[in-house]
Amino acid sequence: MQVLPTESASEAIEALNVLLSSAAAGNPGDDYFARDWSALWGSLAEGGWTALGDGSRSPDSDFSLLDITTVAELWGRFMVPLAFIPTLVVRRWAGELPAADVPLTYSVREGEKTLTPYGSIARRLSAPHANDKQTDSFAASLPITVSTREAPAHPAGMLREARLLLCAEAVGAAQKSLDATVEYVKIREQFGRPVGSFQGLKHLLANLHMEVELARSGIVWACNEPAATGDATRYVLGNCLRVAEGCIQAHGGIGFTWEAAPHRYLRHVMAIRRLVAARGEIGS
Amino acid sequence: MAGSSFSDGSVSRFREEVRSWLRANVDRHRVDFRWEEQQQIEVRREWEKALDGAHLNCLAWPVEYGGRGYGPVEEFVFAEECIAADAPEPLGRIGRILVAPGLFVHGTPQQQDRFLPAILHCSETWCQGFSEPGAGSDLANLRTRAKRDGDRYIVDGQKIWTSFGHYADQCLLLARTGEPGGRHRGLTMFALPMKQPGVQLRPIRQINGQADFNEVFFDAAEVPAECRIGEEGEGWKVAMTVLTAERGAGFAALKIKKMRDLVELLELSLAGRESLEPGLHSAKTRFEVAQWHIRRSIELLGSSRNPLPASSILKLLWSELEQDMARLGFESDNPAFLDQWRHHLLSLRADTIASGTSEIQRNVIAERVLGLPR
Repeated sequence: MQVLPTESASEAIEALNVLLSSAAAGNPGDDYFARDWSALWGSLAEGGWTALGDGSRSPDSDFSLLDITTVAELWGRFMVPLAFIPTLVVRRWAGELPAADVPLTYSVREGEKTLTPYGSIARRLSAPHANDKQTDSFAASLPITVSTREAPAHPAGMLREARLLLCAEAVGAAQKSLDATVEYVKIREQFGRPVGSFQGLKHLLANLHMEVELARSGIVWACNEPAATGDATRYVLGNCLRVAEGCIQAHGGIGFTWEAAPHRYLRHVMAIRRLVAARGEIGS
Repeated sequence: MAGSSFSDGSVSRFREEVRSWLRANVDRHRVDFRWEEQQQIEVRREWEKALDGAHLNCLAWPVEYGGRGYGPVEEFVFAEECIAADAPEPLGRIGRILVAPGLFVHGTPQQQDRFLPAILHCSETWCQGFSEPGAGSDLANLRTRAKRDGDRYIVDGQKIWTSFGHYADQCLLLARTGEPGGRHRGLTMFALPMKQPGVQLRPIRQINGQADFNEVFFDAAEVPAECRIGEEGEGWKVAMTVLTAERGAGFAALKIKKMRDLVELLELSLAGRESLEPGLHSAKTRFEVAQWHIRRSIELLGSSRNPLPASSILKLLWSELEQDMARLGFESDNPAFLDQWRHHLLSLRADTIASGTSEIQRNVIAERVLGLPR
């Protein structure tokens, strides 16, 4: 039973936090997603982060799945449009590995369609892309390539980890959304007081804080009881959706404008939900 | 200080120690809930003495006071094993988890010598005298007066929601020694002897028909000046030490047991009632998450020693989940389980009110965890 990341993993993750806080600073708006992120990818590869999933292959990769969910949660806070987490998943399961600086991804089946997160910027190890592909850019943080007639058979265990790590990313996004909202209600004033001093808003935000904490525990549940992954991921994403929605509510009018950040977190969680819910016949 | 983890070898060894000791000892100390209360209390007192004999009482106390200096993980493991063995609940909870942490910090060496061994060896039990009819959520509004009179104080007033009051020897009493209306200032903490003519108790009948609490009336009750804990006017500080001391671990294990019992009762009650299946599934999911959340919180608690971020969430989590389960069970309309669900639905209403209402808990999360302005 493991319920918290190990001390050594926590220390490493703190180093990643330092890297991301400087390399991915700023509010997630149109400019943020349009940045050239290749330098950050280079830093991740250089720091050995992209090979984290290689298990025994890399000397300092004694990260458990729970440790890696903590990495994914941290990564999710920044909503950087890079295939970092899919790369970890693929590398954990692939037999032959390309160089560690190649971004990798996987596909899931949604009815007649195949969904590939970051399909336009990352490579798939199995079947090649179809010609009829389109990009679902509902969330600029998580573009999904949609195509037909291709269904690589990923192992069920790999898909389970892919879903779990997507959910961990959603927890990170929900947490960041809540953090930013808490800061906003401390400075936004109405009736001559910060709106965060009103009990109605306090109780909403206290509930959202609980939801995100419990979502984190849902991830821990799935790490320890693989058979519960379906129930756990549904629970986690339900909580993350409510958190992202509640953050828009707490912002008032600015919350439903394009320029404000809250919808980015909601879109990210919604895009994750699409990927996690895609069950199809893959892996069978 | 790094706390223990559930996967530590030392924790597994402690679990084995507790398990084998319980196996050898618990059978002689069973409580039958059909007994008279006094008989149950005696068995629980003997049980706590047996635990003390095995150096298993007051595990979280520092070693110099007779404890083992254990953290929340070991306390939780101990409680889990006791529950699994169907052991009685030890008697002296208030003394062990509230009074002792206050005395460690604010008690004089004489007070520590006078009171702590009596708690450890279960020769004295305590009750808590904080809340009043006009000072529930707003504790600083309390009015019970303690007036200095030579080498003693004279206490007049009323306390409420006093559990264990009718068999307690001592009361951890928060009273006003300063000006009326002085809020947090002018409060003082005492160890007041309960067995005296100036102390009268009246049980409070609750909506489920039971009487778990008392009102306590003080009419010129006396407390020796040497039983004042901390200085005059420092009572609020002592109260905060007491109220924020980590004490959730053993209780959390009890809550898991209670929630598991409710889930099992729900499964029986809802069998074949298809329209209620989504509700059952949701309750089971929430229960599983709650269990993992409790384990995670307890490890975190052990490593940070700051109970604040976890305690309000935990209380909201289990009290609201239990209430939702009781409602679902009642709405199963299953006559075979009607009595039980009626009882649960009424009994569990107290859980979102006692020990800090859900509204206060949410304020605590908002103000003290998220840092929102008051």
